This record gives sequence, structure tokens and C-alpha cells, in this order.
Amino acid sequence: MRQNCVIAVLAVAVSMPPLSSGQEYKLTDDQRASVKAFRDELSKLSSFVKQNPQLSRNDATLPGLLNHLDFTTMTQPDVFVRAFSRQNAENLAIQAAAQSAQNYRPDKQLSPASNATGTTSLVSKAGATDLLSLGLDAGALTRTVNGSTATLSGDLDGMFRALTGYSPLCVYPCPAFPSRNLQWVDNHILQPVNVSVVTALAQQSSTAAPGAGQASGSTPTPVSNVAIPTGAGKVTSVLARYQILNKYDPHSAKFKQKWENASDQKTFVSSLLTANNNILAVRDLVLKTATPLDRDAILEAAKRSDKDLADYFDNYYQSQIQKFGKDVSSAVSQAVQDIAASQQVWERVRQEAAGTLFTLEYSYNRTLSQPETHDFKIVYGYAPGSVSGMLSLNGAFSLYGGTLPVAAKYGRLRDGQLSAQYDRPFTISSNPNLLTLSLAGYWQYQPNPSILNIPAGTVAPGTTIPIPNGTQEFVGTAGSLWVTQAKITINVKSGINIPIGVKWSNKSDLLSSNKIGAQVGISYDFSSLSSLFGGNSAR
Amino acid sequence: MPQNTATVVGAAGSKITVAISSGTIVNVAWYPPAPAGVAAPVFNGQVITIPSLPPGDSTVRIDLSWAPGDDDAEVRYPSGTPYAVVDYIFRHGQAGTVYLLLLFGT
Repeated sequence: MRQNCVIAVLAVAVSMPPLSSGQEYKLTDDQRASVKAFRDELSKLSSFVKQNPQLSRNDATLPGLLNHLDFTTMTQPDVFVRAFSRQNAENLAIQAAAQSAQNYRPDKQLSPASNATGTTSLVSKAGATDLLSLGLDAGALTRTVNGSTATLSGDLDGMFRALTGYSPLCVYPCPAFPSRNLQWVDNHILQPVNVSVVTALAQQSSTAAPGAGQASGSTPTPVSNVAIPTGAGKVTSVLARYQILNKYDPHSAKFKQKWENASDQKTFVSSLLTANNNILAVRDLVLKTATPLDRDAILEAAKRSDKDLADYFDNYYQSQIQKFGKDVSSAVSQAVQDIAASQQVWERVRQEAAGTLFTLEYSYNRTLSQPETHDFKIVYGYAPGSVSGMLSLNGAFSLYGGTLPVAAKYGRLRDGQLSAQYDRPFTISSNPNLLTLSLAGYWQYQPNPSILNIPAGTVAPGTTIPIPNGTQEFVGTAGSLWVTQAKITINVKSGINIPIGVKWSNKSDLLSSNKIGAQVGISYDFSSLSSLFGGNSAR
Repeated sequence: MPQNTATVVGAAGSKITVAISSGTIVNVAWYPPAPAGVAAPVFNGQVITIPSLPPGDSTVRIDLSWAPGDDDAEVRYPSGTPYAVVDYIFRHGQAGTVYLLLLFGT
């Protein structure tokens, strides 16, 4: 009997709604799309009524404030567009519209660094994916060995926001997390960090194992160890990037001056006006079926409680949107796309006004038959104001990892690098940024030739000569390695990029003769699918 | 639109000035566009001037951009002192917004 009572109490407790009558209702916690979007307006109305319970609808600022909530006046219609797109987040047309504007960003680094055996990037760019990206690349730039790689990159903040239901595609400042500690972690660790893992698809893993005796042949060939393949495809590089943006005071005169003079300011204003035209087109459609808000009734609801105010407004909101035809959804789709595009330009203006964007990059590399290296790179991105496009500059050095062998004839430093790339987008048949032309130059200096590892107990490459103790050999030449690359990238609207490049180099890491080669890749930026992770572009 | 829902009510033919406390005005215009001969609204900094208020209902479209650090804007009428806050333009975290100033000339 007692056990049954306990079970019954537990069942009741579990079935209770999260907000019981004993808990205080807060407008800020209400998750209804209408209340969430119009929260500031409703909060202002609530505070007015609390300050003066005798207010009537024509007093003070109430006519203006109520005009925001009344569908027959709707004086700030972009708030409605946000509410409607949030409530209709399952509407794929609206989601696609918001996301298509995010697909082209000239500063995104989606392929591996120049020292990979398969890469299309001679120069690293300062930006990265907002969420997750996958790139497949074939063709070497500085390496002798041509290969193909798969690169999975992720932005820690983007992934965390997507998994917790926040949009990774948000305008700065992104919506804050409720916990101050979590917000600190987000600001200082999650937001600036991007990680990548590069897998060489054609590179075999192997392990040395003792041979059990010669299986054929009349001439005895003593082999103590043999290299046994253990897998095809090997993680060859792990990379972490940290973006550094100048700290700035948005209220300072210096920042405001930079903000007004930013090169993309005119582009932003133009995109904002386009978005606003489409927002007003939505409003025009809404006004055709709108019925007036009962202003006395919503004031009475506000006087009773915030919950009554929210309930009253949500009922009114739902009664209005039920009357909409498909034309409103189409108009909202267009408006959402233009708002997203405008917000993207706004972010570029903010970055320019805030100052230089630097990215620090560290990668750990395990190249086939060569010593492991630790590479350190600084990346600088600059968008010149006078012309469309972006300039990326890299400075890097590479250190040999692990313990240097006894009597090594080389030092810890493997090489130093300087490189630059200019990316110029082109519009074709009114399709903006369909193609990007990139021209890049790269200089690397090595104090010593490259090193080839020959493991202990294996045979020398291409021979049957056993090397019992293993060794390292210098191959190639010391000095300068020059590489130039011309590349065209096709930016498909769905988030797919296809880079195709050709390069010339005076030598490669293991051979001293010049080399002409081609590179091709395909990358997909999963930012365009953020809604599948629970992210909502309106949140 | 009834007179009692207009944000600004004034004498028809009078000059109206309205100030916005935050954000950057990038465009003002009649909405929908007014017939030829009706003087267009103009802006200087954060002050909007309507040279001659039309009789009855009219609407001015105000396009605002937000800079980092900008807060919600107060709509003040008249623009000088003493002024009254007649409405608010809420930021909601956007990059910009379009606000419609509802006028009524008596």
C-alpha cells in the first residue's frame, strides 16, 4: 500500500508541467514564438502599466507602443518576420532562404594546409566554418607525394550552439547563454577556436613485425622484420586555430569613426534597404487580412499579470496568422534571406571597424616516412576597401617533433614560410559570387634538405636491402622552395565549394626538379544545415 | 487610421521634427511614396524633418542601422526641448530595422 502511494506521488510529480502555479511567470522565459519575438514590446508595456495602473490606451507613449503589436499598424515589421520565421522553422523554404546567404564567405578555410599530400590551399585563410565542414582534396602543392585527403573541421561555438538549440548563425553579439560561467567559456574558448582533422585517404598504416622465415626463392635473404599494413587511410594532421580580434569599445569615438568609414558600409546600407523593402512587402500582405488589436483588452490583461498579457497577445497573434495565405510565407522567405545577407555584411563592417583579424594556427603533422612536425602559423585577412576581394597573408615555421636522433645533422627547425593569396569573387549571370579566382605565391626556406625515415628492420624503399637499425636520409635540397598557384573555386548555392587549381614549383620536398601539378577538391559547409542540429536562425 | 492611434499628431501644413535617440538613420521617405508635389521628409543626423504635414493619415518610413553598442531608440517629438517620448524602436539584436512613423494632420 505504502509502495503504491510512493509510486503514485512520483507519477504525479513527473507528469507536472515545468512551470507550476507556485512559480513566478517571467516574460523572458516564455518560449512561444510570438512572445519571444515581441518580448521587448510586451515588457515595456508591462512596466508602464505597473508604474501607472490607471493608464488608458491614449496616454503617453501607449499609442506608439501598441502600434508595434497591432497587425493593422505594425510599425516595426521585421519583428513579425522574425516571429513568423521562428514559428515556422520547419518551413524548409524559410530555412533555406536564411541559410543560402551564409554559403559564400571568402575567408573560410575548408581544406588542409599547404604541406598536406592532398590540398588545394597554398595559403590559409583567417576564417573558418561556423559549424562543421568536410573537404576532400587531391593533389600536392609542396610535397613530392601526391595524395588525397579528407578534412573534417568544426567550430566549437557553432557546434555547441547547434547542439543546445541555439543558432550558430547569429549576428554579433550572439544570444547570451543563461549561465555567466558558460558565457565566459563561450567568449574565451568556444568562439575563437576551430579544430580540424586531416586524414590521408591513400596512406597506409603499417607496423613492423618479425618475419617467420623465407617462404620462397633459392637464395637465402635474411629479413628480421617486415612492415605489415594495418589500415588504409591515416590521420596525418590535427590542427587547432584561434582567432584574435582586437578588443574595442563600441561607444568610443575612435570605434564610431571606423564604423562610419568602413569600406563595406555602403554595401551594408544597400543590403539593409533591400531587406527592408522585402520586410515592408510582408507587412503589406499582412495588412490585407489583419484585424485590429483590442487595445483596451490587452491593457486590462497587462494590468492583471504578465502571463495574461502574454496569453492575450499570443491568442491575437495566432488568430492573425491563421488567415495568411502562402504568399505571406513566400514573402517571409525572401525577407529572411535578405535579412541574413544584410546581417552578414554588417558582421564584415564590424570586423573591419574592430580591427585586424589574426588567426593563430597550430598543427601536428605525421607525414609518410618523414619525422613528425609541429607547425605554427599566423594568418592575417584583409579586405581592401577599393576593390572586391580578400587578401590573406601567412607567416609560419615548422619544428621537428620528438627527440632528435643522436648525431643528427640537422636542428629542430625544419623550415620557415611566407605566403600570400588574393581571392576575387565574380558574378556570372546575376548569380553573385558563383566563381572565385585566387592567385597565390608561397616561399619556404629549409636550412637542411628534407629527411626520409627508414624504419629499423625493414628494407630500403624499392629494394630488398635490409636495414637492421633503421636510419634517416637527407633527400631533396636545402634552400628556397617557391610555389605559385592559380585557382578557380565554384561556389554552389547549397554550401558546396569546388576548387580547381594548377601550380608550379621550383622543386618539392623530396625532389629538386621543378614540378607542375593540378589540384581538385570539393568541400561542404554544414552551416547550411544548422537547422538539422536544432539551430534556428531566428534565435 | 484613426487619429488616436497615430504616433505623432500635428496641424496639417505644419513643420514636424522628430528625433531618434539611437541608431543611424540611413533613409527616410514617405510610405507608400507620396504623389509629386508633396515635400519629402529629410534627415540630418538623428533629426527627421517633415516640411509640411499632410492632412489626415500619412506614414514616414525610417531605415535605421545599428552599430555595436547601440541600444533601443526613443522616438522624440518634437525634437528640441522640451520633448516627449512618443514611441520606441526596439533593437532585438538585428543589424538594422525599418520603422514606420504614423502621422496624422488635423
